[in-house]
Amino acid sequence: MKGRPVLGFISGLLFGLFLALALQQFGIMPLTTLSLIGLPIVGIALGLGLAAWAPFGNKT
Amino acid sequence: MKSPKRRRRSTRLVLVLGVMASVLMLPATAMAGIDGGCTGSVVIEGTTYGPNNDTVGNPIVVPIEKDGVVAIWEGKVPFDNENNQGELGIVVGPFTINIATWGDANTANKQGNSGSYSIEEFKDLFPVPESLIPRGVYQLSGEHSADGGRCTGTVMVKLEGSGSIGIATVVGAAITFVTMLGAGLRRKS
Repeated sequence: MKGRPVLGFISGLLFGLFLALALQQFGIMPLTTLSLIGLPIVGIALGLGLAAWAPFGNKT
Repeated sequence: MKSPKRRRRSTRLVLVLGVMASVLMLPATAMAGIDGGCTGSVVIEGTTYGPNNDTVGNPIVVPIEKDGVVAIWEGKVPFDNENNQGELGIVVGPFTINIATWGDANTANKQGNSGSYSIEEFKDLFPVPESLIPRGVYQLSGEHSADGGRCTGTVMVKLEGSGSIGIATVVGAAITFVTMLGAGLRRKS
């Protein structure tokens, strides 16, 4: 991986959890399996995807 | 004028944000009201709610910041109701946290019941000050069974008000989002 997979995993997981809680708190989506489990999984996938892609920073 | 390198970076950032936006637009799951023929309603501050209040857009609204609010409820079952039992819980991810149970031999086979419930009683369930009670929308899931049949159902409840936890979750999401973008920084080789 060209980026930072560990950072991507942890931050993606936490982002998904915070997002699920925020959506619940603001009355957009309750804490169902889809939001509480699904969003952190999507967050992890995005974090790892970003780490693999590494679109930011210098190429050299 | 932007250099091609900078333009490429901007395009990538837009792509990443586009993926994030599509995830955020995941539709909420469709909810079901009550199955099994049972009926019921609750009146809170003059508004009558029932089994149709089962979606995020149409929840049972509980004004948690007002004092002295009382919910007046009633319910009926369409079957023999002897040896009945039931439970009600809050759905939290794959789990359901039980908040109420009931059961009765009901030899008189009474098929309906009614009563009132003080919202103050509900607030007392939380071991934290009122401002720290988590607001937002919750899915309640319940069932009632007896010798003659069984009902199951879900409704959506919204605890109305401006708690401080909501702001904390948004700040947390923003910080972790920016941190996650940091995972896409190319490592120096």
